[in-house]
Amino acid sequence: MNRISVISLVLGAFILIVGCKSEQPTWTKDPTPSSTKYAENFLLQKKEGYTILTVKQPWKNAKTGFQYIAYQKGSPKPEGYPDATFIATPVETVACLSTTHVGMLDFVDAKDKLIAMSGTRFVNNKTVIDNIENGLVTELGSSEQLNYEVLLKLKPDIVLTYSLGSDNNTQKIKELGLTPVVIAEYLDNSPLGRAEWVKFLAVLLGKEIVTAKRFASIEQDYLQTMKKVADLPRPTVFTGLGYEGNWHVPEGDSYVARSIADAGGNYLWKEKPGNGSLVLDFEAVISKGQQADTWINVGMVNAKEDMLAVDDRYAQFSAFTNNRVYNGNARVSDGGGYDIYESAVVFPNMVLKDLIKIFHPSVLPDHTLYYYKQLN
Amino acid sequence: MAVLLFVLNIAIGSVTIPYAGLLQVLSGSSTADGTWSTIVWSIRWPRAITALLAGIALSLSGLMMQTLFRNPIAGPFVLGISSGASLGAALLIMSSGIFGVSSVLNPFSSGHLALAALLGALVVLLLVLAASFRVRDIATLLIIGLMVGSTTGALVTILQYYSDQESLKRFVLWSFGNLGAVTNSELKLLSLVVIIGLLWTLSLTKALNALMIGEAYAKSLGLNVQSARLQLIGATALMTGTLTAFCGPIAFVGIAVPHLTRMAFKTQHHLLLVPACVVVGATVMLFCDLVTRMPFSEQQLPINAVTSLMGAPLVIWIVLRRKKV
Repeated sequence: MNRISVISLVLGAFILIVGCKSEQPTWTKDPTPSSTKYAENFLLQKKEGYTILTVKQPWKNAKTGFQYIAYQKGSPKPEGYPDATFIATPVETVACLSTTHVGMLDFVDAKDKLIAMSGTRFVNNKTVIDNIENGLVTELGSSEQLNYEVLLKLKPDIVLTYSLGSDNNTQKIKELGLTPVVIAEYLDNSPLGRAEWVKFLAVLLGKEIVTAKRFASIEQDYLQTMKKVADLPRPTVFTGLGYEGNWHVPEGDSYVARSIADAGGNYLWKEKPGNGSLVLDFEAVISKGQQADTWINVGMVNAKEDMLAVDDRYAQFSAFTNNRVYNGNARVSDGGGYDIYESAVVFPNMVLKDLIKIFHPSVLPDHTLYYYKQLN
Repeated sequence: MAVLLFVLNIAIGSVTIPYAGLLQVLSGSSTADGTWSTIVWSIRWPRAITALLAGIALSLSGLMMQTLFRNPIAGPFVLGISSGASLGAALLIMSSGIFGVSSVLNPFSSGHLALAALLGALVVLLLVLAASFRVRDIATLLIIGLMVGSTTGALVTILQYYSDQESLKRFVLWSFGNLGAVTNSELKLLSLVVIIGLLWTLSLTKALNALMIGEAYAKSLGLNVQSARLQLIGATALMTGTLTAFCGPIAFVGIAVPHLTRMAFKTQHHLLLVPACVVVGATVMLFCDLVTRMPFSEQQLPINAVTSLMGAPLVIWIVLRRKKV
């Protein structure tokens, strides 16, 4: 092959690739104030006869957000918003890809609208489990390998999706003619902010009134309970379980760090900026954490001896020898799904109370641990 | 050089320990800081010893394999040992997630993981050994070893495909190799194995020298080729299999070190090469481990990344130079 044809081939391929890049949707910035109080990753703007729902950052490194216009069924579609997805509300049937969505659907009183989900064996909610067993909810396969044929056959009004870093599902679901709605609550870092995503769903499902009431009472409970420990001396806390020299430690603005702070704990890495996690080695963690009071969120283990089986050096942490290790897996479904990922998102007050019970046992004498358990 | 690196490995890490404190810890003084003591004795010391043993095991195995197969890019894993170990580890870590069964072996236990990897390596080894009895030409055995490796690799891929996120991550982390996770009791076993392996290799130096000329010639010199083959494979399997069981697969050291040693000591004579490999292997491994621990930063790199980054250019250079060698 002579040089010219090689160059033109490469150039042609390059043009093809660049030209074929799919257009990213952009959202219209409307000046109406958002009704959200704590959530920072979505906007809820009430207009005359319709609502603008905007997901600002649908996944990590997303270049732009998504916008959904929720309008009354039967009414004409609102004008404008060229890149938004229009959804006639209330929707009747929902498919979802995560148990967190199940928790949210339950909160807004719409779990009967669920007809399909990915990962049915991870569900903890009893009613939904019954529905799954009675064939009312169909399994869609893992979210990385969705059974698109089944999804197309069921034709849900909306599909609640999430993505950890790329557009894998949204585009494909759109191509099938269905309506994907990206729920990105996990990118909100405050506990109440994450819970507030129920308002987003409520708009789509026509359950705004009952949701507003419920959220308000959760909010009240959370704020009142927080006050009880705000001025108490704080025990030192760290999290995680290293594996093969790889220990994930949440940064200071992350959800975990904030939950600990709200519950009156002193998280050892709270000074680290950012809301992701650091990957540290064993030395770095033990040098800071060896004398720490409390150790929470230790992965998938159920007992102290399980931790030793992974690495016998965990016994060197004083939190381990003093039996101050707690894990959020007290409630697990038969299929191995943790309830803390399902309902805890919408009940941050319960998580708060659990953590306060762990850090300051005398403050809430009537509360028993719900999501967390002590490891023995 | 090796001794210096050993000391450096103990002294340097993500946490800065001042020299005075370090001396206190090393001398066993009662005033030594508790946390530093833990770091030095429970983390750095076992790791440095593991690196030393790994360097020795891999370089000796690599040397034996390169001579046996008369192939400059052979290494300890040509017999499919790392593939077998990967299959064992993959079955343990990922199948319980897929089938939802709680097996006899605990997927989280590092001890059980080592056992599973070892069993996997043994199964593959037995297959290759069985083949070695029926195969005359050593090059055929090499191909068989590689193909068995491909097959186990395919099985591992299937397991990965159906696995859940957590298990997948754990398996991938295992496959990166880790010199830091060997417990003290495992370390004793590893030391024993490496010492036995070293002595065994030394006993085979005559055979190695003979095999280098060629099998027909070796036979004419009176060497029992079949027995030599079996022993060389056995010694390699023992050292490499045990090491991989405890530390995961560690790439490139086994291929690169024998060449470095030959070039540095300018000899092909195995009686000199074996101890030389021991020293060079230990040095290289300790150096790589020091790099992975990225001193003065709180993170560390996986060992395979470092050994590959250093080993791959070296192997390319060796292959390019081959015309002169």
